[in-house]
Amino acid sequence: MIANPYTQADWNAVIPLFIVGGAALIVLLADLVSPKYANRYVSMAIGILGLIGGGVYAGTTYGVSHNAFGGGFILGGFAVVLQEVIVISAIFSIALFGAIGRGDRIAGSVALMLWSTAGAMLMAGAANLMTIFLGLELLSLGLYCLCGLADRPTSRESALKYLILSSTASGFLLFGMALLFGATGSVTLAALTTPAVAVNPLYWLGGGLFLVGLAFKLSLVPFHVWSPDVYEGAPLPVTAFMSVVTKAGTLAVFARFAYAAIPAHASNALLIPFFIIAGISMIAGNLGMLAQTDMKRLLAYSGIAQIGYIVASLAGGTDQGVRYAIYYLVAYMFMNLGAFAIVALLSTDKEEGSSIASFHGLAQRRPVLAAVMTFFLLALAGFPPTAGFLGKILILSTNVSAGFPWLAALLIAGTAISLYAYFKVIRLMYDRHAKPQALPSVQAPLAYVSMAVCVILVVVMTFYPYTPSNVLPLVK
Amino acid sequence: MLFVIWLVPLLGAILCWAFGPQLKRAAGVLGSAAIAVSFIATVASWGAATQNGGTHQFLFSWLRGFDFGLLFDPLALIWVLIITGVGFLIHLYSVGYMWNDNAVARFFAYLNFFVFAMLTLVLSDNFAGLLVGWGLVGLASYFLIGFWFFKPSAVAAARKAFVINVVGDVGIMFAIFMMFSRIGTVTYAGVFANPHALDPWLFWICVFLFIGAAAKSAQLPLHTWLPDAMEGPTPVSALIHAATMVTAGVYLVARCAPLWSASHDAQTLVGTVGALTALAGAVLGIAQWDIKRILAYSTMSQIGYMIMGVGVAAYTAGVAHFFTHAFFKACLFLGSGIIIHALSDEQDIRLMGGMRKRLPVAFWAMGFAVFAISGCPPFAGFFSKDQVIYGALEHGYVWMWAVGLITAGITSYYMFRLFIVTFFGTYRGELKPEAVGIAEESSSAAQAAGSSVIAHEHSEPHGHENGHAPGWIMAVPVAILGLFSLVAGWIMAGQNSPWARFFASSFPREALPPATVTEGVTSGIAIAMFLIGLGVAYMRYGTREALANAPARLKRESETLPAVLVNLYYFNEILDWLFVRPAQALGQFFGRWMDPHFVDGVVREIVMTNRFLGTLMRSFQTGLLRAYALIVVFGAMCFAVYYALEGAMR
Amino acid sequence: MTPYAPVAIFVAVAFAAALGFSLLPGVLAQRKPNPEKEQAYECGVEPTSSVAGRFPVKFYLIAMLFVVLDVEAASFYPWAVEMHALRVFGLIEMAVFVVVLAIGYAYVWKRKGFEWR
Repeated sequence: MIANPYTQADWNAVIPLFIVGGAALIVLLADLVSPKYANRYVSMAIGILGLIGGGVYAGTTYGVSHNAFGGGFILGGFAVVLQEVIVISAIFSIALFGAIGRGDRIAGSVALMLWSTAGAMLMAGAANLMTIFLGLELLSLGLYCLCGLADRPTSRESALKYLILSSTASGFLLFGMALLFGATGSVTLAALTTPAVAVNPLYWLGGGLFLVGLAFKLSLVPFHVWSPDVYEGAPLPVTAFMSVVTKAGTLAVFARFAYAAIPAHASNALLIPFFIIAGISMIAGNLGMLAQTDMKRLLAYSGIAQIGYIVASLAGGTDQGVRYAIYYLVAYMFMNLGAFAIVALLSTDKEEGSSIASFHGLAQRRPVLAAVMTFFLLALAGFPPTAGFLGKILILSTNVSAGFPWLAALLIAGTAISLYAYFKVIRLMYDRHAKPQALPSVQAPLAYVSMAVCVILVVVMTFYPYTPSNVLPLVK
Repeated sequence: MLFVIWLVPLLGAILCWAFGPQLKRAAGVLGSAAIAVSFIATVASWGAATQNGGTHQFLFSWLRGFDFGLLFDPLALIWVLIITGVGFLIHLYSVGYMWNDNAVARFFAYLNFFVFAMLTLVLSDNFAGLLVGWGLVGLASYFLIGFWFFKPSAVAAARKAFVINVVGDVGIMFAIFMMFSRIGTVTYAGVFANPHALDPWLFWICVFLFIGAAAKSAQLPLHTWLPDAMEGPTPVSALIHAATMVTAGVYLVARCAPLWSASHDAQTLVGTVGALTALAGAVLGIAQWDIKRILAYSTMSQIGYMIMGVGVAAYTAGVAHFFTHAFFKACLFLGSGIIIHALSDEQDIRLMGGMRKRLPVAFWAMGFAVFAISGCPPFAGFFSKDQVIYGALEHGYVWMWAVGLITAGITSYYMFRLFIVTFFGTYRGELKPEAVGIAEESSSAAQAAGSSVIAHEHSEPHGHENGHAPGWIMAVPVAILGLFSLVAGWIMAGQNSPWARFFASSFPREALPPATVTEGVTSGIAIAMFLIGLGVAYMRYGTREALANAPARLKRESETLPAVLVNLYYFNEILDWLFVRPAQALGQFFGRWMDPHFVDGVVREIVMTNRFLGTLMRSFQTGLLRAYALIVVFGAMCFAVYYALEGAMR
Repeated sequence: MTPYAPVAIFVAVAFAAALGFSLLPGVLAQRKPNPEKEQAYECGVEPTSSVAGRFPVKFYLIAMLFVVLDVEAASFYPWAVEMHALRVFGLIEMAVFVVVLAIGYAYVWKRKGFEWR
């Protein structure tokens, strides 16, 4: 007799996912009946409303702690905060559809993006190997298609690269999971904490391959190779979406694994390679920015470094570390999405404004955009008074106090390198001798709104550095 | 209510700034209305400040140890009353004063912004918030001194004021750092709960705080910016450089009373600086001819009194002097503004005279104020100054008591000198400047005005019509302030005055041994000093014969003033030698050698390295899928090998 | 011998066999190519064109849609077997599944995905 094994509370925990996923279906249906001139806006409106609904519902569960589906999905402060990050960045990404490629239908893109969002939201609370993989694949499947949806060869190239490399990484991840299952006989992360498993070689190999999979999704060096190419080719909103949502979801899984699924005495040896590549990413990502001619590529490298900072914050497994990581993740979200919004506003109907050339002499043509872009770049570089500055300070402090001074040193070195790269762009924008270019006339109120919101929040976060306190424990 | 008091001026500033072109002169009405609202709200929330030790409004929490909030207690209330009350009168006056200026909106935007900044300063409940306000008032002061930015001298004066104020800001910042590192909090409540927790740094914290206070309040040796700041419009001088901002130092010391009460050395230091400043400022006042500069030195001197008062732990007395001073000094400045306005921007008192008939409002109001500042009973200044001087004695500083009394005499002298030369006799404006001793190069006045840093122009470029009498809009504020110069001190009379009861629980009290001289005797001596000063001034300038020969007498005096006074004790030169020249030399060193050869070299190296490494990074990014797959698999293999080995060793 | 030794041996043998089968012919075989041999093996039918030739992308679309809907049919089987055990829960679950696919079906239909263009 297999009666319904789950309680009402279990289902309540995943209602936000249903809302978001359901909204995607409504987007598709609405697109069938909406007139041609309005279909873009209908799709965007329904998508954003669905995300807001999901986000609000998830918000009401803040403070609830529930171990749903027999440990498959853990609802708690951490999951909710990460879900909110994911939902908000999805909203901002969908808002960017208003600025690019007028005339096309976007229902498919929006629906896929919503499903990917649902996958990432599942990852935010996933606590057994099955749900982790389910969430990850749901997230990735949508992205494979999304990457290829722009009407240009690089887009299709990016989709293919992402598909092949990502499935390779998924293969490693799955193999690691299989070994972990072999070592413990259970698929829940909680089962991995038994001290006895730490003597099993399968556990180590499994853990290592599992981390490879995560490192790929986080695009840490040397598993980052896909991200510049894929970011460059993918449609702009998709790139914005990937740069935060994929990373937030994967970060949730990594944090849960690092904080709650490792026997205490094995923690250091198991995680140290991951933190080493995070440290390398800080340097390599910032170096990679130097030679770029495309804004999306530049932001891809910047993201590699930034995610290195965030992962570094988790080193040592302190309570403080995870709170500061969330703080920096949220700051990164707003800085990064703000920068993408500006790229979107520089786009024309035909092409995206992502080439560095379109930033040349921007201060003369669009002084406000140039100023705001300068603000975001300075924030990413970590100038006060922005959240980027405070976030770096917080991560530095937690690194030092957790006994990882070398990560702090790498962070500082990386930041120093990044200054040069960000200032190169700023200097270009304020070049007086730039050739005048035609002004793209962008009518995208949503993109302007999201840009303004990002500016405000990046500043506000500096002066109101709230770090959620009830995010631990991650696993019951 | 607290937010109304605090934020309405900011709103006014934003509106004036944003809608300046549309508002034009209406900006003055808007700006004044904003301050009026703030003032009414202050009066309405009187109870909130006085009951239960005041109101505390939590705002937000920044990093640990930095909780921002507003504190509205008796001390803050007094300051807010003056800032908004006197501030409102000065705003009103400015409507008339700036009538012909073509940047009225900008002026009122700055003025409102200043009020907001000053309120931030006094309402903050912690040192970090105070520092924010401290910096903002400095900024507002910079804007307003340099309001007529087309005058090079105004710009130079603004810059000088700003730089010296920043010295003070840095002092406070150091104090905050030290506090934070000792006890991990910067809220008043946290710091004052146990001042001795700051030991052994308590004294140094006081010193650094006082560096901030001295810079803001023009105490020796950081006073040189204040006379130059008179380049700003006269209402600015009245509001910022007389009534409110320059008293921020007094506020700071009074606010930090628990710290000063815990550190006797700090008391001595601050009291000494205050007493010396009071004396030095008064002496310098003797040798000035520019009406606003005389008032500037008298401000410096009177703030010296206040600082002396709060410094020697006679907090109530120091604050009392701030309270009365705000009225009579604002009155003096606004009155002088009326004169300057009426005489088409003439500021030299040698070219005035006979203003009594021509400008009766200014005459009567300034007369009240002169009696008040000179310490004549029953005018306001008498009560408060008396308390300060007696307070010094009471706390055991006999020499400060003596200095205070002597200064009172000198004050009386130079204020009546100003008063008589300006208002009595005959009008000398038609005379040639040389006739009264004003010469281009050799004249003392030109030298007095011109420090080594700044060359002055004396005019205020706003009047387009020639000398018109003040309309009611300028006369009313002056009259009200004149009235207050008379009555404001009455609440301070006697041992158990309303004033003393008001502050009964605000400041730490010390048990004091009975002073050697009673308060009555002190008052008696003070009155005697006042009479002596008045007498000397009358003998020199006021007799029938002296008034008749005024031009010749003034010419003779101009030529015989002692050089040391004319040159302001050479303070500008000393500061120039001590700080400006070495700084310039350092700048030269960095500019000529360090930057091009060392810093640029290093930067070039870094850039080259970065470029190389960036290109290296890019060489991995071939764009070929198989290459990427290879890199990923290679990385995965490295991981696998590490973990396999790690696992095998367990 | 740990319990995993057989696995290791199995992996090693498989690896060696695969490697051997791909390398040995190169070493052992004699090469006498002629045009007949070079031709692709097409079950004895004469090849008509190159295998690397192009064919319409429409096939992919149809194939993909077929697979998607085929999965639908395939998931009915396990549900049908356990239908009585799963009861209402299973029914609702299946209904949701069908509705989701139906929406997709409707979308494809309206977007003319089934038309041979």
